[in-house]
Amino acid sequence: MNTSKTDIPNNALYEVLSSATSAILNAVGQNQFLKKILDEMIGTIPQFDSGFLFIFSEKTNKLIVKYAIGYSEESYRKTQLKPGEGITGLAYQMKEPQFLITREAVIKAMRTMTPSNLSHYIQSTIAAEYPNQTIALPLMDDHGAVGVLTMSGHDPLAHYPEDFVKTLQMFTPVLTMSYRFHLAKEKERYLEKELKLTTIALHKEHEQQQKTADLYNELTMLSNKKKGIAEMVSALQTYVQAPIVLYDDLFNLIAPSQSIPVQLPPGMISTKEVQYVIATKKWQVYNDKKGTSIIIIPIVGSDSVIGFLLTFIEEKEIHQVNRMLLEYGASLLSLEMIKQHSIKEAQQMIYGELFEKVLLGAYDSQLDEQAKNLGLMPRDFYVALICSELEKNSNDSRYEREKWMKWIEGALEFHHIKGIVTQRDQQIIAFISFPESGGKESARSSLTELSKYLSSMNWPVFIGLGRVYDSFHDIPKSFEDAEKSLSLLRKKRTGRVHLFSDGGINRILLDLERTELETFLTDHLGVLLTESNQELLGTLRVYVRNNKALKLTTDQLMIHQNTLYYRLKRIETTLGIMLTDPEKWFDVQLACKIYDYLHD
Amino acid sequence: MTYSIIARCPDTGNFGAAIASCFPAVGAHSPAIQADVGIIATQGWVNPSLGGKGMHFLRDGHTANATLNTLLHGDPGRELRQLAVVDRFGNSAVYTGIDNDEEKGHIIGEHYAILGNLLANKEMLGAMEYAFKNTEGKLQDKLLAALVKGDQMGGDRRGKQSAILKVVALEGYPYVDFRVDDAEEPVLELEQIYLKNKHVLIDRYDEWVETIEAGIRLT
Repeated sequence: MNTSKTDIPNNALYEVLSSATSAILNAVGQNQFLKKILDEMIGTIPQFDSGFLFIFSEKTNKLIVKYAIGYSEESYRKTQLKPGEGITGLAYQMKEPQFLITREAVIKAMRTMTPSNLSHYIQSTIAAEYPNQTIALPLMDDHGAVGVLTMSGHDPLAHYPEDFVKTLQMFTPVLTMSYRFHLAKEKERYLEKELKLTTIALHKEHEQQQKTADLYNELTMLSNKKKGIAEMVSALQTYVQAPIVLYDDLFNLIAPSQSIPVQLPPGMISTKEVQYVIATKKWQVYNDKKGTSIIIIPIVGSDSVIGFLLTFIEEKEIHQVNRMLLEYGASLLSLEMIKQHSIKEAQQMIYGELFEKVLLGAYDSQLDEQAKNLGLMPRDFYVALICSELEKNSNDSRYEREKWMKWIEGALEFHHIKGIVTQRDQQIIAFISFPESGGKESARSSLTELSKYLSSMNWPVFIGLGRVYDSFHDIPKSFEDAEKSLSLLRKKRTGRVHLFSDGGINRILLDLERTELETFLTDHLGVLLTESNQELLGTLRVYVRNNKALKLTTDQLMIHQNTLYYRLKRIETTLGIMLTDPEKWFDVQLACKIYDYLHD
Repeated sequence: MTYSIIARCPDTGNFGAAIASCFPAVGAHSPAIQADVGIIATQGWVNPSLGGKGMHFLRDGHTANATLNTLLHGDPGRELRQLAVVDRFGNSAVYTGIDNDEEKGHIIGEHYAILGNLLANKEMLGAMEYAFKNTEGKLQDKLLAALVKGDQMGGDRRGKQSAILKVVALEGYPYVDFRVDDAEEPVLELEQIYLKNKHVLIDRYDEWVETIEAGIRLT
């Protein structure tokens, strides 16, 4: 409580109030602003030792104590005055200062307060129950009143300058304005905070939109440039931090073709998560036992799921994946896959029709014209190629065969050889053409080069190549050659690519019935074929293979020369022939070749 | 088996919801509201934990859309749910999982979202929106009007059991929070309870808060 007894002289009041209001203005925006108002005003006027700062609440229509000097906070905070209640309420209601200079007048005015408010007041007083002077100064300006500054003095002898109230009143608009300014500052601070949050949220949304737009532009550009699914997946990968992999509807890998980040659990397609994705065409998360989460996003075709875009991420980091981009990317991949599928289907339909007609030999002018449109000139040289799986049903899928097609197409392109490639049943077939102008020898030479190249690639497929024929109409003959080449490859299993023209005696044997070959064997090897003579038969086959070279034969059989002589004698006796007889020797040679052909 | 409207009052910043369901005590599960932060409603095969989880993201300043997506991301049963979020900016986002029963759907508006499943008809969502937008008064009056309209249009096609009207103004000081947990006409009962009792604390909410903070009685 201010206990100064020095009254302020009349002429100095204006100056000290000016100084106080300056200090109050400087405190605008500070946490202690309301306290500062009361502190400065009571500190400036020595006649006053206590006071309240009331602010009017428009929500409750009451004057609420915001700060007080000389009163106990626990009690004064309970004071809530209605307009007209007590000295303060009256000043607010009348919009006029109320200056009471006797204790009796103060007590009388205070008794207009509700009993509870009067009780709170009395309980809050520290020095004496009632002051000797009290002034209630409405804080108001042209926009209305915001509250009341109520100050009291307990010195019964205190004097006040003549124009005391009038002078104080002159400063109330400044105090009011500073209060309004303070409120504006507080609101500004709040709005700044909100603005900051809004900006962050807006930035995030913008970033998401920008990324989405960028992704759209990049993927559609790649699609327009026919860069293919793999490049589109690669581009999508740059937008997503976790590794992504695209699979077909049977979980055969489509892209990326290189490193696969995580092996899929066995039977992935049968998991309830994948089954749910297929049923609902909505994404799901599969959590494996090692703490990896796999986000499974369906690639939806025209009416069913045609693939899966998988994202691999640590389970605890799953919220960091931009799933919206993945879903968006999956939609664009889906469009591309549908598009490619449709183009391929249309092309394959045309190729398929052409291939079938050619292989059936159903030539007519329309077919010739169609072939010409596809760049197949009637007088060029032609070869058929067949690419087939190593084992029945091993890795059999649409995408496997599409991969083979790409290999064959790539090989033809690499050697600047013209050709059309298509799928036929479980095989890939190509009609390869060489220009008439280059001549047949040049065509054969190019074919040999292509055959060597295909062999060197060691792809996990069998490739059979027919002979070079003189016209488009002879393709079926080359196709038959290629089929025989495939048969030889399957039979002999000594390579993966076979050029029919390199086939030797085998290609003749291929044309003969098995029974005929077996009869020939029986006629010329006879009893050597029985179980008990397997040793003699083995010896004969090695002897034939080494073209009668004794040293090579004994080395390979790991027997003594005399043993070989002995066995050869027994063979001659058993078969009833002399191996020195050129005609019989040729028969035996052919029989051994047939034996190898039939039994390899 | 539930229809809801959740909203933010653009004038006061209050968040609120009105929900009805053929399920007991729907208010125990939804909505989740935090003053000045946002509101989340979850229904269908309800996962009430999504409310609390989502509030964490809203508090961090995520938008309704980002919050919804993050919540869906971590919920394996997302297709069974209907999930709606309104953020402090007034954005609204809703997801209606495909495994919710028909009729189902939602409407997204500025500062509000309306959603429902197992509805008597889909038109009731539009009617609720119309009632919400064309009712004068405070947020709770508009929300209640929308819920009553939904009830009049047929509501939950399996029947009626519970309803809630809730609006949050200041954190820690319940504002509007009325529930009917099991009744034949829960929406009408909720309306009666609201109209009968709103003068007690709701109409004098600010005074009540002031008196609580001052440590005195409300007289």
